[in-house]
Amino acid sequence: MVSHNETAVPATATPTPAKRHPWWRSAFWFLLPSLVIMTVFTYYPMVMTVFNSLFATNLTGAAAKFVGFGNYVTIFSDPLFFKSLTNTFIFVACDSVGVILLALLLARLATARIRGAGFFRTAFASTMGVSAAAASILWIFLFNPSVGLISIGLKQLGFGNVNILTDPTGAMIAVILSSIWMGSGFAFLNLLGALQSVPQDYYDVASLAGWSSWRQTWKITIPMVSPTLFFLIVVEVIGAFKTFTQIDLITGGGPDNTTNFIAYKVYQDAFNYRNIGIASAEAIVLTVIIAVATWIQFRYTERKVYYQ
Amino acid sequence: MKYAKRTIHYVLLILIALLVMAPLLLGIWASLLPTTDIVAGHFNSLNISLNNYVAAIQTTPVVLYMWNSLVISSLIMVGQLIFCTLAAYAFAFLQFRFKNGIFFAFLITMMLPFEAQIIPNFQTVRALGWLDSYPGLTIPFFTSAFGVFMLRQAFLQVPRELKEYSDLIGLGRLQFLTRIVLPYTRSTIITFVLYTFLTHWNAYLWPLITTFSDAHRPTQVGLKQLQSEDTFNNWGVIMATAIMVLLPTLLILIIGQRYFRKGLNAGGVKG
Amino acid sequence: MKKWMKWVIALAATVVVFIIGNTAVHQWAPSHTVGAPSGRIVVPFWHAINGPNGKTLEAMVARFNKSQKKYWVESVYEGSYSLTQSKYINTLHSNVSPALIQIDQGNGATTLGINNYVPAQEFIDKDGYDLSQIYTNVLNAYTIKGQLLSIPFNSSAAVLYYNQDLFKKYKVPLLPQSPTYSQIANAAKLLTQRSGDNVKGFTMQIYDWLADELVANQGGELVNNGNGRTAVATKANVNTPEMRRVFTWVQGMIKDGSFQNYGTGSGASANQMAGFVSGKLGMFMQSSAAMGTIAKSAKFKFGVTFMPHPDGVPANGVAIGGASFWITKDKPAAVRQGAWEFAKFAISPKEQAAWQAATGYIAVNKNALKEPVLKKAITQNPGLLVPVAQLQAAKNNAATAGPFYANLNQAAQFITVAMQQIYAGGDINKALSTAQQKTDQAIQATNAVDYDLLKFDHIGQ
Repeated sequence: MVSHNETAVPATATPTPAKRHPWWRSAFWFLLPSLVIMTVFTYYPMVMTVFNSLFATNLTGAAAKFVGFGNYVTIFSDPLFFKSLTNTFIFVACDSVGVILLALLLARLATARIRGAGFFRTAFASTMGVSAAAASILWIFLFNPSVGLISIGLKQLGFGNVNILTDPTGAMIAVILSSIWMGSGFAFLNLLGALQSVPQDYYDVASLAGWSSWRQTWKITIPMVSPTLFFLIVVEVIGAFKTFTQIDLITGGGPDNTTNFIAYKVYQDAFNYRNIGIASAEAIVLTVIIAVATWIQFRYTERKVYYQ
Repeated sequence: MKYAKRTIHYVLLILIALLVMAPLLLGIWASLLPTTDIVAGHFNSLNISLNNYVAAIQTTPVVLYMWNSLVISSLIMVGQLIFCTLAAYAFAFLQFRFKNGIFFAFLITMMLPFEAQIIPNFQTVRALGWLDSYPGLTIPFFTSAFGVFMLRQAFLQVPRELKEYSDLIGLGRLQFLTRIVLPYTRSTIITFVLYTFLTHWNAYLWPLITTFSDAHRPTQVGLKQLQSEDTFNNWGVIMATAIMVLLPTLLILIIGQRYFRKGLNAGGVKG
Repeated sequence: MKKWMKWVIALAATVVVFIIGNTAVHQWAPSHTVGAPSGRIVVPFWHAINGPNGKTLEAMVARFNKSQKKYWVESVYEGSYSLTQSKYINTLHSNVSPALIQIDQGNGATTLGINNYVPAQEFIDKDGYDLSQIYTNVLNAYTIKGQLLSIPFNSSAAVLYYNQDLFKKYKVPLLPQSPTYSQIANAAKLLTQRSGDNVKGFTMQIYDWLADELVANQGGELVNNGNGRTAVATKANVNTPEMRRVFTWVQGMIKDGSFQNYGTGSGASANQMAGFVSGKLGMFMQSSAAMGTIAKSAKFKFGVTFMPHPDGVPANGVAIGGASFWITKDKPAAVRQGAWEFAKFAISPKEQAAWQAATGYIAVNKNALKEPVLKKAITQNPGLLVPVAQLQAAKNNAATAGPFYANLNQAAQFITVAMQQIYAGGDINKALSTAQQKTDQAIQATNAVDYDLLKFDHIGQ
């Protein structure tokens, strides 16, 4: 398994000779707890999900009949799954772009060296302290057709009695809006950290040169924080693909499956309709999407780590 | 001129801060109003009181939910701290065969969404008899690749001289870890611990599928339970429970803000 | 050594705090799911009733627990009927699975297929329980091949509620006991017009069950093989003349502007109820079980009628909705006995009378009508008798026994989507044929793997 000898890092740079440890003192024991948990709750279930995706399962959830890639064929020929995928992609795009833009705006405003900046930073970051479930309750309240301020506001603007959540487009917008709100605190904090590391001299010089603040943003800020931006985009995209809580609480995937995003569909097919085979195939599709996004992120963070 | 610009900046800041905080502030405000006023649309009512909170505590299991969340998040926090620290220590300071391979095996789990593992995990936990229990809600999360990665990055920053010094004075490995490495990387450890607590206090999907009674149900799914049980008519109480549930994490965020700002870029976070 | 001691003390202190805190919070919390007194046989019971009716059920459980010292029923609300059923199957044979579970009528086929139940018939035969006190129509819904599978508990049927004060105010003729589609459409139009659009005449929640009930009222069956009752269903009947009549009628009212769409889900039913009790909605259809809530919150005189039927198609009667109690097989005999004892308690005349009086569910026990509490409630609210009359007037056939097939949850989803499309102005035929096709596919897919489980050959052998 794991070798028993250990050296201080790295071997060549160590003045002391490498100590030999008996097997029971090897690195193995440091890794064992994590390895056990990961094997049981990550590797094994992943393998099982692949396995299940190749079977038709009966109503108790047990694999009943080998169907090869049949479940994949089924989901990819199901317009509902396509709708789910398409709408997931629409949501992911709107949500990530919205979060990043909002966070950029907030971070740009909050970096100003003024009195009370700390208070505003806390205010802007506050949404990160609000869980998705609690946030969903707050937003359900805003969207409620009879008592919600958004509905009341729309009515006063002459839109009449709108029930945002029963309208397909409205529900999509509602989920996007609330998700942007939920995600903005995290993105803001990250961008704030990055923005604060941009030397103020750059802006001072640019101001002297008569650059507008827009030009400063595009020519100085964005390039300087681009690593963080890139990191954030990937993280947001991955997070958005897994969106679940808001859906379960605010729309339940409806109306007309408009907000039945892929992570929610996996849950519904598995735990409500007990269609384990289909749900597993869908879960694998989700995994591939996430894996690609994460891989992009890894390649990037790896580089960044070397620079540190 | 400069004064005018500054004023505009302040006005902008205040407006946007109000807009961003609006859902939260409204929620807090509604939680103080009697439901009758909310339903009648009297948001400018001054009938504010803590009655909704009293009602929430007395008639709903929200305190039990919060206790469960506290227990679950704390257990996971401690578990991850121990398990991830041990693994990160091995990756940062020890030499062993297949080190890169094992590290890669750890990292790759970050690419695998938990959502894709819930079905077999549910079956595993059911087979272990852990459904609707603290072990079932915590043990699967006792380690995290992100945690190992983040801590390893921090441990690598520990100067080599310290390791040499500790070898010199004859500290054992665990002593080196607890007396030198952990204090040295305190800032990362705090970020990690706070982040873990926050993430698991806010966990939703796993508790949703594995809890079946109030006895071990944590807060986030508790909110859903209250929502569906009470058919959502008593807005005042519902908002009070939501505010109670989000208050601890909000406080953690406010206190731990600076740690999050520095620490989170270290790896691919966000659940 | 000293430091080591400190850690041990800290750890011990934490453990003590945890144990004390845990015990205190669990004891003190206002929760019904924890803390059975020692010495009782615990009977875990899952149900799907929320809101005020859920509170009524919890009170019934509390009365049972107080009435004797042997058993302790632990009731837990597990979400909607379909969620409760799914959770039951997902936790089958685990440490958390219930001994008694409330399963809605439409999920009976799956529960039967899971085959983890003790037929109610067994307890009835053993106890010599007199079934003649239970309505035959109700028993039919839960009887397959002459065997009663589960114990009917909360029976309901959809009825139509309307605001009589509004009808009088706008001089709209009151509805007959069994109204026709055109009478409803006409009343809806008059209400809307004469109120200057302040009142919407009618709504039908996007809820598959209402459509199913309207089909049953025309004598239509929702799946083949006698609504799935003579053999496992192999084909759905969704795009049928009965279904099309329902939605043609609805679309007419939408075009008239006299229809309010409240959408789908629990939020929709709450909003629809709020609209009705605040006098903004003239008529709506809902389970008779909603009557308790309406009686409590409506500050006007409301009327209750049978479900409407198309002009020229006689009313066949609606299917029994609601749910029954299934006793699970994999629990110790004493626990199973406890489950039966509670079920028996729950369908006693006294409890059913209190249940109907408080909720509007139809008492399954005929003798409930003799109980003072129900008599009094009926004098105060004669509407309580309407669902009973509708039940008694119903024909005794497969349509009124209700559908019995395993894909009902999925089919419900497809019909919901079809309804959403139709309400948005979509083509009825197109929406229904899509739903038909999807339901057929689902049934075929299920039968392909589950036929051996679902076929009910084991009954009556």
